[in-house]
Amino acid sequence: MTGFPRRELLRGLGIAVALPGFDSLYANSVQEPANAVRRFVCVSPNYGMNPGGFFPAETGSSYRMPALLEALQPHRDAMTLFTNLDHPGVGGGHGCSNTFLNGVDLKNTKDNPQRLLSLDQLLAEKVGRTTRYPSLLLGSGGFSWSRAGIRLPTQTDPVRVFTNLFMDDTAKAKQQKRQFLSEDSSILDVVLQDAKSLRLRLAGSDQKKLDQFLTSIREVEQKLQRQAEWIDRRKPSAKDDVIRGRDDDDTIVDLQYPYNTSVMYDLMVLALQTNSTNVICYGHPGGNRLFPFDGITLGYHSLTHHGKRPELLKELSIIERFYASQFATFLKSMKETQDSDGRPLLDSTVVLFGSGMGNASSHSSRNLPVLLSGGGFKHGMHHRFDRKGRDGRPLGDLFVSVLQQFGIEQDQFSNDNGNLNHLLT
Amino acid sequence: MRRFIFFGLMLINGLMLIGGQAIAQQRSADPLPSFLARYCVDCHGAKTQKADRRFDRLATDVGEPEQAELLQEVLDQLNLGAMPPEDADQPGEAEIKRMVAHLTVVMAKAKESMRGNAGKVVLRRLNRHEYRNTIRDLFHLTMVDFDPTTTFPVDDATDGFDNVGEGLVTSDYLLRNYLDAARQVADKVIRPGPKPELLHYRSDNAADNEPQILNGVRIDKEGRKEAGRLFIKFRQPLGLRQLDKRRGVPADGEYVIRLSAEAIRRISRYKDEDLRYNSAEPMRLSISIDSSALGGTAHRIIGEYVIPDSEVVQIEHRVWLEKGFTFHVHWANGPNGSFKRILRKVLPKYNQDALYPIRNPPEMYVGSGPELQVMSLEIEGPFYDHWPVAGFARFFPDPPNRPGIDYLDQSLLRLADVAYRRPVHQDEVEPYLQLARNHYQQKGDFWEAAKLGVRAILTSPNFLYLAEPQSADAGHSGVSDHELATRLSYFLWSSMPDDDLRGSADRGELSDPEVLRNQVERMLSHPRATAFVNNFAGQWLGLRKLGEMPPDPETNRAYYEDNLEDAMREETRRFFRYLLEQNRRLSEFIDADYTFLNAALARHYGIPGVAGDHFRKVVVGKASHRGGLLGHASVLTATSNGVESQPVVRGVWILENLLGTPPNPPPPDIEPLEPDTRGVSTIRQLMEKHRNNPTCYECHRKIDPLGLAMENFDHVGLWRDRYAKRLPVDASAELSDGTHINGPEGIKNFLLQEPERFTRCLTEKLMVYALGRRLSFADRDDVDRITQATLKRDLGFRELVQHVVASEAFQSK
Repeated sequence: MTGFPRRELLRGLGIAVALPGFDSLYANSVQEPANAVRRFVCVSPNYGMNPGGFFPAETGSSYRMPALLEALQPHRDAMTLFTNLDHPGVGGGHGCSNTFLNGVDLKNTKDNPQRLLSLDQLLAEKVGRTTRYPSLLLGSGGFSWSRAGIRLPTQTDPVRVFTNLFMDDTAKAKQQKRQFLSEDSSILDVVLQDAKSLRLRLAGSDQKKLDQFLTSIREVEQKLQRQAEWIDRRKPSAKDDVIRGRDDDDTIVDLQYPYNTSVMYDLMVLALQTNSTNVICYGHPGGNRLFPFDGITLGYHSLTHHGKRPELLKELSIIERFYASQFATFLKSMKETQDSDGRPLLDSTVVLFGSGMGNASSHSSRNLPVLLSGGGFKHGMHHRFDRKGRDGRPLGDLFVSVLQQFGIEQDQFSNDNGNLNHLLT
Repeated sequence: MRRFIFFGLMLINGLMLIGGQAIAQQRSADPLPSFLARYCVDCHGAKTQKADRRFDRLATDVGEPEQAELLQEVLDQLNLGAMPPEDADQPGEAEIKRMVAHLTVVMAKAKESMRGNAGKVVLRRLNRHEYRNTIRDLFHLTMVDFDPTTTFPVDDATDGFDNVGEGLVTSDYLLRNYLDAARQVADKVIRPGPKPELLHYRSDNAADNEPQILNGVRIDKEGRKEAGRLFIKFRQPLGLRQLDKRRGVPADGEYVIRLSAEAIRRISRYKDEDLRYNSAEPMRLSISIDSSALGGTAHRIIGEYVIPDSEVVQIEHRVWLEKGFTFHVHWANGPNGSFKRILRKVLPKYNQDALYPIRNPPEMYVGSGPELQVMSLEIEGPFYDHWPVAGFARFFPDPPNRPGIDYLDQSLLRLADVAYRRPVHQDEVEPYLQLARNHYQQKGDFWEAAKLGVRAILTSPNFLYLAEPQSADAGHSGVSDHELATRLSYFLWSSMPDDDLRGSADRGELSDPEVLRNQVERMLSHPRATAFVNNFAGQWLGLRKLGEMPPDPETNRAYYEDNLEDAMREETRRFFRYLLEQNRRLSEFIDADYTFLNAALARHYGIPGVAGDHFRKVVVGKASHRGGLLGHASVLTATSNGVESQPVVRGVWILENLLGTPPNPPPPDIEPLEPDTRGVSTIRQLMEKHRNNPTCYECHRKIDPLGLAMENFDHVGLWRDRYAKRLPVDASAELSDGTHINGPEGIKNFLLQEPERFTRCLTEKLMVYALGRRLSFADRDDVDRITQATLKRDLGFRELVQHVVASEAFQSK
């Protein structure tokens, strides 16, 4: 591995970021056209957004911004809202939050867990090969699923995220890591052999179960390999202002949820800007925490079961407006921050905000809140689709358009084979 | 638990295989199809499939397990009289009897023909608890502060339990965690070489040399001597500087912490409200341990002591410390809030001279208030009962001065033999031995090579999975002695067999029912049986959910100040453990005239005469409403959302955990109405509104009455006759079979009159947990037999566990 003689300095978020040259990292990748879309961000509140305050009354470009989304007014030209998108096969209940990006219920995939693969991971397979992290999963998880049908874990600690992204290990730690990696992979060789011979002695249904273990071995081997390749490459450096606060004022950065939301968004922008990853999911957790905001008297979960009582709806809207305003700030940074080609990050990034929960009050998986931004799509409108009985337009149609925007030749997602290209391009 | 697992598509597939003609022929002689067509197919037919069940093509041809499951379900519903629903056309009593008799015979035949052919998933991996316990017992580790599983993903529960193989997923993420955990364990366990040197740090009040003063006040501006006093500055902990400097103790081992302390000026001229302190209480000192490397999560209080006024007390505490841990002493009930606040606000208020930096620094006055003085502080250790430590010597006994390949092989074989929970052949372990040998030959470091071997064995599927390979003899479906020992120890201990149980298996004695029985007795009385209480009862009764939706701290002060959550959990655990240890009748789960309380929980319940933090058995009368599980605050709080009681959740809890008939989840294809509760004043009205919806009605007519009858208990299990808005609680209800009940007592009476349902429910729960798999149709006989035997002979809980172990399902694969 050669060093990185060339350093670039980018400015964004008012934070200086020194970058190693990217070109060497891309040496083997196919040359992309200058306007290529290569990044994906999904932000998802576990309990969705109260439909009454999310969907505009009017369609077209001159809709009135819904109450919960007022903070997004400055970005209306850069975003698209949809009414009546949902996943046809998905039932209601708390589990539906986790189906946002794959459109399928866990219980319907017993025989074919590959169907659980979620949009972000599918994209990571395509655009995640050239970055240190194929994807970055933050906050509360649940809606990101691997090709093996495993719900992927997330990182919740901003300090750790920052460390992983920007702090180089000491030479000694690197040496130790290298040793662990090579030892672990020699262990896996032996274990794989052992697992194969155990498999022969098991009954049919048990063999299937052990196949999970065999698959995991192969996946870990690949990951160890990848990690070994990256171990000697310098990480981009960024000032730790994001997590520690600046020296020149005495604001304290609060790293506790929900106050750390803005920290997470800052880290996301930095991660994209430094090409540390091309795919990010960020989840707002459910649960019954008491939000430390003025006017909140009940737990979050209790508030989502508002039963249309105005006093509860009002409290719920405080939380959901908070989500929207934080997201608006993120879009602003994405516009103002340039990538290594000198383009605004938002132009090369598809940003999706939404949830697999349509209406938390009835645990409904219908009419999901969906907001799309960036990625070179045509924006500025609110589109409403028809409902046929229980179902609206398949959300998979939107996903197909997203995939195609990345240049992925795929005309089907889950069981849906339409697309929304006519509205977005 | 969902007893019947196959329906929908699988059923249709199963029937397709049989072929249309065969069905038609069957039908002519079979009374079932006409019965189903008349009474059932309206709701479970081609057009509608309520609860996802379809009977229009069901016949008495039991070729597939899925079909058998469905037929069994029809039989159950008829036996219970639960179907057809009351508003539908009803078969006559004689007709039902005929059909029940017919189906009973059919099912008996089916069971016989399908024995051992039920397509069950047996293979399961260790879940997180089991992994941790197994590591603990394999290497005799003290796993209190050492836990390599903290980053493991949470295991999903299937049919209510997180040890069911089907739901235990293995991901690349988990495998990486296994690799990391194995490395940590190997580093901890492989401890060759001489015993670590004894360390002895001491500091006391008498000495006046500077290094002895720890966290004491420094006023050493003009060369004045440091204050020779060692005391805890309010809530600021006091530690040993030598130890803190060295980042904790240098080696794992047992250490002795000694200190002497005295309470000074408990009542002083400072007012309690200024200090935020309660001078009425005697002072208390606590000792905590933590590790700078592990951070806040490692912090743990290991002891708390009352310090009397003006009398020096000696305290000695022995504790196992992991390398890198250090200890601190605290004034547990000292003045609250920050030290800074007291320095800046309180001291100057009482001491006009204390005005930093103009006059004397307020620090000077620290000693004028209440003070917890520590006269001396020391730590000595590490001590070991044996050196080398047992977990190392077990596999690496008497290491030669220059250990070689043979010793390496023998040691790793010894480990594999215990770790795999069965005798191993050198052949199958050869690749592992080879790995370690290669490392030794290439790098020349014996102990590093041994560690690598240990790590590999701990990553083997033979260790991580409870594998039960098919026996060579195809007709033989019984488990081997070692498999039986493993099943038993993971059932009762959530861990591996100990030497005693392993010895029984090695000698081939476990197939002797008497030996097996004695082992169960021994194991249930062993401290490790705590795992059964925590993991089985914790999941069966939903205790693990306690704390997921905690009550609002502002309006439920006592819940937090008295640590009621732990107390609630402890009450139910003790109760469960008592029934198990004393072999009490199962009906006591429903109704008992005693429970287990400490002072805080007794206060919560309004039961007088219980003092102190320790739990004890307390006899309670009917008026207390606390006898039996339904009066336990743990259950009542876990089925609430922190703000209000949730009758639907409580109803489902009773159906699922006491009656064994969980309702079906809401149908996926029907969109639930969004609740509109404007203008509704009681939960009862709210639920009635909900129930008016016909799709909801079907299940909620079973759920709601049970939940509403529990409305006398609020969200933290307190008894109430009125709601907060002064509306009276109406806890009367009519069950789906027409029985009128009133309040929790009514439910208890109903349950006591139906002992079979609770007995069967508990038996099924135990079977799922014991087998680590979902019950299949073929297990039905065992459940029936155990249920009947228990009822007939009025067996106790411990005996029920014995019966589960003795069952055919438990002893065959």
